[in-house]
Amino acid sequence: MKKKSLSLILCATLVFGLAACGSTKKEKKNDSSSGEIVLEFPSWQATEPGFQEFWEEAVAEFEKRNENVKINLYQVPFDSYVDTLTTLYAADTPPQITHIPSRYFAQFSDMGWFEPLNDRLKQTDIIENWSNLQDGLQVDGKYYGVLLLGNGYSMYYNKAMFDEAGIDVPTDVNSFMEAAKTLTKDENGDGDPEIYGFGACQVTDTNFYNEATSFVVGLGGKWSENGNLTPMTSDTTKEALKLYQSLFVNNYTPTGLSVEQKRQYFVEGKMAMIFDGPWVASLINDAAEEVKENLLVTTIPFESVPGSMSNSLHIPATISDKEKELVWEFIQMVTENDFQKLYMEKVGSPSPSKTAIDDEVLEENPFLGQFVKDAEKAQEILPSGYEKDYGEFTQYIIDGVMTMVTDPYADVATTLDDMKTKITNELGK
Amino acid sequence: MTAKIKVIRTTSEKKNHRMAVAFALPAAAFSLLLIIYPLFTTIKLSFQDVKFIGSLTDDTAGFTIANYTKLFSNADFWRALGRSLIFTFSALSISFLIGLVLALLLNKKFHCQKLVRTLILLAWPIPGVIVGLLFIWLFDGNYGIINTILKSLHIIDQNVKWLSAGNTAMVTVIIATIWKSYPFFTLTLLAGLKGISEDYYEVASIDGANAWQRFTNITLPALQSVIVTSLLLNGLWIFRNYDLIYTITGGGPNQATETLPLLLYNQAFKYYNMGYASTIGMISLLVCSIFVVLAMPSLKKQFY
Repeated sequence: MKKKSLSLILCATLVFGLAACGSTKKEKKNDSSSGEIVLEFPSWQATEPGFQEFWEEAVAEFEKRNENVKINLYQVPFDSYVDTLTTLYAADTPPQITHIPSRYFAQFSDMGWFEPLNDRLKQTDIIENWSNLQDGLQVDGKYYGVLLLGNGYSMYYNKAMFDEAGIDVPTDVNSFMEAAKTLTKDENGDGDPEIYGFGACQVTDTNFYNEATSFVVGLGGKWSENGNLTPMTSDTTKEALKLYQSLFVNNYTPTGLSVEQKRQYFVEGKMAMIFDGPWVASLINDAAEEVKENLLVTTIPFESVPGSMSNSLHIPATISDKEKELVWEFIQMVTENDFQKLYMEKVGSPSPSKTAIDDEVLEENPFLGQFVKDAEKAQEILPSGYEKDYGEFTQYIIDGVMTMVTDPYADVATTLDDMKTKITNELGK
Repeated sequence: MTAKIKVIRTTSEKKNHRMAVAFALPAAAFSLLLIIYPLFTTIKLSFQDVKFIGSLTDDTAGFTIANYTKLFSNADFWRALGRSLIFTFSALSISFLIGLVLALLLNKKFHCQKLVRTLILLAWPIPGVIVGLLFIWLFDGNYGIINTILKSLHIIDQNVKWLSAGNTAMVTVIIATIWKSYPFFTLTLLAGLKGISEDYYEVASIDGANAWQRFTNITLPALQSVIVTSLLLNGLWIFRNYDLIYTITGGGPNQATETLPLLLYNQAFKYYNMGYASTIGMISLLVCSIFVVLAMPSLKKQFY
């Protein structure tokens, strides 16, 4: 009898346990009876230096303004960020405050996952004060998010290396190639340079796409125009990629580097020039003092400045109206000038707000002026007309361009023709 | 003609049976929830042209075998399957041999045995992503320490571009996988070795058996079930390995290290082709099932 009773009690406990596990997050967190509302806010920036301070201050201020609201800001590593977010949305448990790398915007909005913001934006002056890159968050005339950072790529260089070689910082493509050649040094003559003129990344990921596309867009080429792939095989695109290829063929850049390695080696003084976004500035701040003062930034010496929308905030379409209002309030709060100034101060990246940037802010951060200039001139590197197929499209570009820059160095023109055919067949445009 | 024997159960046996069922129910419910349902969903998705589960804009897709026909006619899939098999068998066989040798060595008594055992097993619990990052720096083709060592030993004259050439990139991910997986063999085989009585070896020595004969006639047969189980478990882990390869090469260069799990990941989370990705998942499941079926006779002996 004892055994039977014990087994029944255990079973009942397990069943109740399972039932408790089965209750949804929303039911647990935003139970109206307890009066407290919890807004989930995952971000890849939650523990990144600079960004962390900004987001923590924003969360603290919001919680101060809204007594019964808590924001659960937590870190999700960037490598698994989009997968995690995608899974949360697919399971219909989207984080109320949705922060995404904007290159994935088209894919997410295509799923119907974001709330249109036009009515809310009309009641504010965000659109008129905001960077033109905000328009990239539109679908059929409706805005589905607010841009937090739109950036141009800049050229970081090691001034000491240029001074030592007695050459000027490049201002055009010819002087850039000449500098890459001159500053590559193989002192022991074993065929493996100790110092490289340029640092490129070469791992199969989006950083490789961004860098290769920086050369294409910077030198006047394009992958596509409103879904038309003709620009992919244009002479301008071919010439840009031949130049990019020559950096690898001539050993002016190390090979097989991840973007993290590229940045690390640059800061350690093993490369003279790299192309990268404003976020590298925080890494330079942490560099050794004797190197730090020589690491400077200027405009990429090409005819155009490549750039893109970086990250943005969104409201999920399926959360409750009350939660939507709170998330909108949070978005509005971080777009206020004080917060945008704080963003620039902590992060060192330009704000998309035209009114937040002033002389005081520019004086505090010596790199910021350059970033602002580059962001204003930035030409989008996302494939025009293929935003919804971003992942697949960029993979075809990565696969194709990778064959051009790895031994035995595929012919640029033939590879571009093949890439065009493959994309046309697979993506049906 | 066979006669049916009626099994008569006592009241106590019936009670015990009911109790066993009651205890098993939560586990069965868990299985249903966590294994059967996702498996059923994956099978269903593999027969549908679905971009993404949870999309608010997709129409309900009908059933089709298009994903399977597309997959079997896709050269990328066959190449990825081939790579997966090469990767799995290379990493598995070498890590097994290393694990076995180390287990045999650790089974002997020597100074600092516990410390050496701990150091050898250290690699096993380290997450794959961390191991990946470690190997990126070690095998960096420009400033990596492996090239520096090989150069100083005059084994190479010029840096090997480990991660930017297809063959060497595959070698690198295999080495990283071996480094991560051999401790599991060491651990399980060592446990198996501890269970073999010293008496067998003493008797064999008296009968004049040499070390090799003792190994092949006593150690290996006694370890058979442990070997099959550990090969199966580690084989499945290596075949399904994703994080290590993704961190080190991202499947590149030029798809040289793109195995089935990476192909699946790309289709699911990069291209949002959930239906097609589920089809790849089903084929991966089928390949894994073949491993299990092959190991079944030995597993039956051990567990049933």
